[in-house]
Amino acid sequence: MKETMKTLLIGALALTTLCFTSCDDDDLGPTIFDTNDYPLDRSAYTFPLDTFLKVTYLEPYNMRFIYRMEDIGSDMTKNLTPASYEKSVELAVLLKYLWTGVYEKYAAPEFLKANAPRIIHVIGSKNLNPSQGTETLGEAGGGLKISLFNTNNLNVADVDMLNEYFIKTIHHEFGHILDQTHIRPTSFNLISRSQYDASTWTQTPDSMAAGRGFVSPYASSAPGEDWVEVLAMYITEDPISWNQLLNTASYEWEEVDMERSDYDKRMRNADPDTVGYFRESDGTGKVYRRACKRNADDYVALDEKGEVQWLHTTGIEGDKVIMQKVGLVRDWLKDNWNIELDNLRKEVQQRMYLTNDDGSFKLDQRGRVINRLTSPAPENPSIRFIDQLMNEVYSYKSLQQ
Amino acid sequence: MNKIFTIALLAATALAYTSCSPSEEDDIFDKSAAERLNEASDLYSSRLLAAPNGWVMQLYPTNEDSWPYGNGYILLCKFNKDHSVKVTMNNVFTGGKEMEDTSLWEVLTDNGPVLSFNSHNDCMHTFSDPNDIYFTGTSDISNDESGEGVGGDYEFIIVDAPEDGSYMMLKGKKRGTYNMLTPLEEGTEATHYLSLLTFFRMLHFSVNAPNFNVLNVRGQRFKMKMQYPNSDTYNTSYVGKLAEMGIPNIFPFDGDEIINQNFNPFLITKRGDNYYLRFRDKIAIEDDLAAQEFIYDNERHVFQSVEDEGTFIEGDNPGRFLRETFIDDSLEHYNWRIETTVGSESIRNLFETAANEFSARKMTLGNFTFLRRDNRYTLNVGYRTSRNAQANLYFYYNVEQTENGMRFIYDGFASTEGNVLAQMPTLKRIIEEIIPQSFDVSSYLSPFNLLQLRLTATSDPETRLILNLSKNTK
Repeated sequence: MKETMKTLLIGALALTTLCFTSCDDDDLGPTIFDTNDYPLDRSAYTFPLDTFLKVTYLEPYNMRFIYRMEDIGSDMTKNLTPASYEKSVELAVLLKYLWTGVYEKYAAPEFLKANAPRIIHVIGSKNLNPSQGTETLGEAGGGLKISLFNTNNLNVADVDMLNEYFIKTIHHEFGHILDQTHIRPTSFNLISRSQYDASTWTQTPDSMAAGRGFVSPYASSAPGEDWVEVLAMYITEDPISWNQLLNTASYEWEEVDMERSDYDKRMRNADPDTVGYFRESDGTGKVYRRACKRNADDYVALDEKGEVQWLHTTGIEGDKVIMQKVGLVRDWLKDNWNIELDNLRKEVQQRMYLTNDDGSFKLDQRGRVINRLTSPAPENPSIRFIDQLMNEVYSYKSLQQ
Repeated sequence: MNKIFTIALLAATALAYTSCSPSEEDDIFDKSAAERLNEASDLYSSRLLAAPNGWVMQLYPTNEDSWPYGNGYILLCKFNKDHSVKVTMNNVFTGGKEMEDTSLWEVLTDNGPVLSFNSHNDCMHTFSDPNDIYFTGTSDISNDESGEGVGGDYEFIIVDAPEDGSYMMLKGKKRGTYNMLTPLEEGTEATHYLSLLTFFRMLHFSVNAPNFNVLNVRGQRFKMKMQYPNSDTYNTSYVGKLAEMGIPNIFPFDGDEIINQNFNPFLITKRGDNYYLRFRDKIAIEDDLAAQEFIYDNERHVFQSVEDEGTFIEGDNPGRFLRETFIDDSLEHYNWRIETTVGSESIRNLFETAANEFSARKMTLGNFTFLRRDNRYTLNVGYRTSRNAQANLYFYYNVEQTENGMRFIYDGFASTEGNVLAQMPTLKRIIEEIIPQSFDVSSYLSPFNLLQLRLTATSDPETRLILNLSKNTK
């Protein structure tokens, strides 16, 4: 009986094994996803932009430029809204002109194919963080997707705004993707190791951050952000602003509490560099000023030659730290992708600002660089240069039905 | 142990057989999921396009109770085949002016069929943009720095879209509010349609009217009292007083309006010749009651529930309201002004004659206003003297409540008014004969808006006065 039972069990075991394996060759059938490559709809209102995006981003780089917002692809906990069609057109041509077009010129042909994100997701509204009182300018997700915000307020006449939200931000977020492909040198993380603070950067003024060796307050939040901020700022900041940044960084800065009335009194006929810059927050006045020797009344104490005695107590020379970081970014781009950082910088800035025949920047009466995008287009001076760029999109209207 | 192993093995054998059961290989659907989703998108797109003059959207951005977040807003949406959509609106966010914008639309299939307004539209995305609302807060205190804006949706799950195209029901993807679309009739122009709705709503639910209305639910009565935002919560230089700012508080007739408060905003629409009042949420007073939409009955002057015969909204009793704001209040908080240019013909003629008598003496007759003076019910008659100085006459009355209204009893004047009466026979007649009598009270412009009341002399239906309520600002 025992033997019979044993035989039965062995038989059942064999049969079970057979049954399980018999399911292995199941035909899974066709994919449930729609893999058809539909032609663009020529009757669609958006046909010109859709065509431009296909030709400019999708076909060469397999990059989807999504301007019809997909909230499922955004942070659903935030109140975000789509970009307008017209602003999407503007941003699409600007990114080609000041980002992919620049890399196309100075990087190997396969560089963007290999490294460009698969998705650029364009959002119309700001991405506010109400609880922190901050604003997210851009996001890079897993090396695959870059989200840009505030597109509905895009204003090419405002270069600071244009850089802050879009051009600097796309170079910043793309920097994250490159950093994930070839990680930054460990030595970079050590340069400002004791200076990073993820929580207080929102309260830090530009000058204080620069004096500690950061190109922006956000750069002081973490080494990864510092790395890509250096890359993005160096490429997109015009030379005058960049030199001002280095000059600011060459001083040590301090923060002191001060009443508004006291500050106004000190500012009479005085140098703001020594008196400082006033900022009021939650009813408390603060002054950010260059550190120098001061007398008992907190006024500047001059030396025998009548000059300010600048202090350097922290041991940080901000300008040198920043340039040291730039050097590491430069080497990293060169070593890993054979891209010259200074070529990228020169190209972006010459595309953004008017230049003389010798390549130097034209300056306005107040000594500032001049926005090329809003200047007359070389081929047709009756329109702005940005309009000429956008005409590439609108030229596809002729194919519309 | 062996026994357990044996049982487990036999069970596995049985399961292994059933796992390959041929019946499970059959396809439940004859098309792939992607194909079915594409078909759904096409189907609902065609339904949206089927309304040739577009749709009237009753949009409720959120389920909140406070203005402007919880209110409903009317948006006219014209969907086009090229996937553009024109949206038109006129509300507090547009400063009471009409605004239209054209953007893109698409029926997505990421959460069932979803209507997405997926490029920015100045009208639609007003309700979902995170920017601060420009008119909330005051110039000194901004109370909306939340970075969340109104907080509404711009993607809507299509939960119902009958083939006859009579309506579509959309559910906000994030907030879950239900937003109804009804076709805008062909030939109806957007500006005209929005004006009709604004006029109807202002007429019946004026922002200044302090009266309540009465919701009757199968014999139960509830007060329906409009709550308007405190002017401390918004910048009055940006926002005029619009009827749409109010949200009704619906509570038992004898209940407490705070303890029993229950806010339920509504919107007015027009289909054919009929006006409809539809609440954001169903009236959930009885388990089997599903009243949400009401049609205005021009004969009964009530809003009759479409879903439940025994449910309707009527105006408050005008006599009760006059008693409350005149006798009970002793005219402390309210004044009632006689509208001299409206009313019955005999009354209009009387006031015109009185005015002419003043003109003949190079004086100008002004307002007739019931107010409180010397702790008495007083009719104040204002006029300008021949030297253009402002002057006032004060006539006293006692008032009594009657079955259908009020009775005025003349009780003399303050000081030298008798001299004027002696020279102005028509004024004397108004003061001493017309006003001191018994009047029946009824609503004038709307039974739901008792800012103006009609007083009809009980003894003579041709003697009709119109009284206009104002808040006493002194």
